[in-house]
Amino acid sequence: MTQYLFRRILLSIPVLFGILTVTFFMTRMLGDPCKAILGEKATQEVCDRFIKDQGLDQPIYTQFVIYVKQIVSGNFGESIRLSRPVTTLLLERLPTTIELAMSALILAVIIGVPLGIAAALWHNSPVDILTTVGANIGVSMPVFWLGLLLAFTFAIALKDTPFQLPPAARISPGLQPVPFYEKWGWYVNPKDMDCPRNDTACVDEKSSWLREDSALFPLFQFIGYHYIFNSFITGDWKIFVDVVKHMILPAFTLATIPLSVVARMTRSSLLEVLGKDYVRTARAKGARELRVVSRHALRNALLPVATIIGLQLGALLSGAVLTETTFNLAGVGLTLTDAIKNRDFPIIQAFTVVIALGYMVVNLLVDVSYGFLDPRIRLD
Amino acid sequence: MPAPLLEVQNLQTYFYTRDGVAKAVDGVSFHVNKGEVLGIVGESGCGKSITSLSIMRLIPKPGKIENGKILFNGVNLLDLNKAEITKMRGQKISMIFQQPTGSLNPVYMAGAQISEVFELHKNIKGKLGHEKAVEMLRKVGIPDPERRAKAYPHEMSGGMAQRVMIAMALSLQPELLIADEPTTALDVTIQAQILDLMRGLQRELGSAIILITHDLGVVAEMCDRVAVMYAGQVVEETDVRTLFRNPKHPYTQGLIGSIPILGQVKDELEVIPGVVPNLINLPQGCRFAPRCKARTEQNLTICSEQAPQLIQIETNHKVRCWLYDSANPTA
Ligand SMILES: Nc1ncnc2c1ncn2[C@@H]1O[C@H](COP(=O)(O)OP(=O)(O)OP(=O)(O)O)[C@@H](O)[C@H]1O
Ligand SMILES: [Mg+2]
Repeated sequence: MTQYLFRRILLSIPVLFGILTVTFFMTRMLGDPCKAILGEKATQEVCDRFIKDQGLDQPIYTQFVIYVKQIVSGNFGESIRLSRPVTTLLLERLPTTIELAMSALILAVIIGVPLGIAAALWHNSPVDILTTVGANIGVSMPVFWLGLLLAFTFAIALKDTPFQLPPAARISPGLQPVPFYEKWGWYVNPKDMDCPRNDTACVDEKSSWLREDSALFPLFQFIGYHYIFNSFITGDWKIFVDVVKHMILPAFTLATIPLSVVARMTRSSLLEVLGKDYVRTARAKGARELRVVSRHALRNALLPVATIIGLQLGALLSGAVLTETTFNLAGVGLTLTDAIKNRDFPIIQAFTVVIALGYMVVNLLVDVSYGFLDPRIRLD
Repeated sequence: MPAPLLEVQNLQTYFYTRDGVAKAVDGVSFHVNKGEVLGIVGESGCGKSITSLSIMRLIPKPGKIENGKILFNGVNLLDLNKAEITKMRGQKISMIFQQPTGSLNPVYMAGAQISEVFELHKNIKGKLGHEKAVEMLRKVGIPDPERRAKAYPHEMSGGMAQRVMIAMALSLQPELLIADEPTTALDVTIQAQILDLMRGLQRELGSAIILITHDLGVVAEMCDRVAVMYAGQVVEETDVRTLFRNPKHPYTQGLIGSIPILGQVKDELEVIPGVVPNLINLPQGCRFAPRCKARTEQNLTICSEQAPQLIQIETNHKVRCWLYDSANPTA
């Protein structure tokens, strides 16, 4: 098992490097970033200086070598347009996408699987027909269109009713979540120290064990930026309700396709399994129907559903791009589309690699979980 | 004579398919005495499996038991409610099937599948249940049962899987074991082992067995009595000696004529011409009539007009054929 994991991780390195190389050269084909960033009216002189500052005047291979060197040392460079380190942007924005994708996935599973089961158990009944028709509509619905429809319904049509939901952003303006490490006193915000300027002794005294210059600080920040998770573990229910409300519409929008796929797969898989010999054996040994379905049929029927969920995670990532744009959520997808429009090379490169990495991690998780679910599969 | 353990009376099980009603089992009657082995033989598709599944009340859709009685120790199984029949299954009546590997659940270990029977009916769980399962595995002759209890079905051969199925079926010493072609999918040598095992355990536990097969060799070796089925009906029922020495029904005679005999050179094995009739469009009169040699030889017209009844011609011998029916106006 450990060996298997090790081999898989080792194998992913050349793949990541390949993706890195391809994106690097492809982004250079997007054209000159100067006009895109500084505006159409930028003079030739200004542009020349800009290009030189960004190191874009060097031969492309030299640029590539410099870039790879940077990355190996853990530096993804700085956004050309936002003038902020790409790593910081990732820390802030990746959590939005993760929470969006996870919420959508959870919705897809907790709604899709039971629907599929019901449809299979009451085969050819109205439940089955509705589920099948609904699922077929669900997979063919364009994400942005559904998003706009939902936004219109819940933000405008249902305005001033209890069902009103925010159609944009991640949190209401004015609300500021306190990260768990601050709340639990692991870290003290310099703003709260009221130390005189440059009084390092005072700062040292008031600081907790976690400081901004700690190597692990970015990791804590990253976790803290998962607003739903953070407000949940710190018990900040006002913020929790607010961020969950903001997530409902995007999550449902993003969940429609995987939900439909999961429901269809569960249905057909369970129908097939219910006709298997071992299900008959279970009945013949005197198991009640509930047990036959839950213990003997479902365990087998859910195996292909697990695969399909793994595959859908990939689709979720691309769906996230559209969803984030529709609902104006500053996640990886929105940042990436903006960066492409603005030819912000460092962001495009880094975010593409991160998406690829996410894809690979998810696939690995799915494969590993398979080893646990199905005794016929051994990982080695 | 003591009352039989199982008595099937005029059982009718129909399948409501898109093409029409398939009368898979149409008026089947037979009985099984305590501790005996009854063989059911017949060509593929004549309704052997459906008969046995009807006894278990496990008929899949679109099938339905339309008529008849299945008396088990005097209780009509068809009158029982769901909970009652569920309690019977695996405890009083168990069943093993043709495809042993497919009949075991791929995601559970052999031991767990056996101990589930104890859990379901005796509320014996955990370590004790596991021990009982291991004990059953030992009983069915599986070497190293402790280790084998932890094996998954895909790690077992067909013969091994069938032993597990037998262990599962006999865990609670049922009064009746239905074995639906238990050896058809196995190698010849393994077949013999499995049959030996069943024979041995049957003697030890005193269970009655309904053994479904189309191998007359197996019948000769294993069974006390035999019911021959044709197109959803029993056409002959008698003890095994009489069946081989003095078969009455032309179909049975044909079946026995088609067995190759060791050491005896026949120029040609006899085969029964024609095919089993379509169960949706059954011929009028006797179902075997279109293929019957006796009918043409004796020039009987009634066969294609009126269906014969299963009649008793001797104490232990029943036949469904106009040749032996006193009601036959031409006889
Ligand atoms: N699920 C079903 N749907 C429709 N008809 C069925 C179904 N199952 C069985 N039948 C009908 O019942 C008839 C008898 O089937 P059965 O399985 O009892 O045959 P069998 O004697 O066991 O044959 P075999 O030796 O091949 O196992 C079949 O010929 C078929 O017409
Ligand atoms: Mg059969």
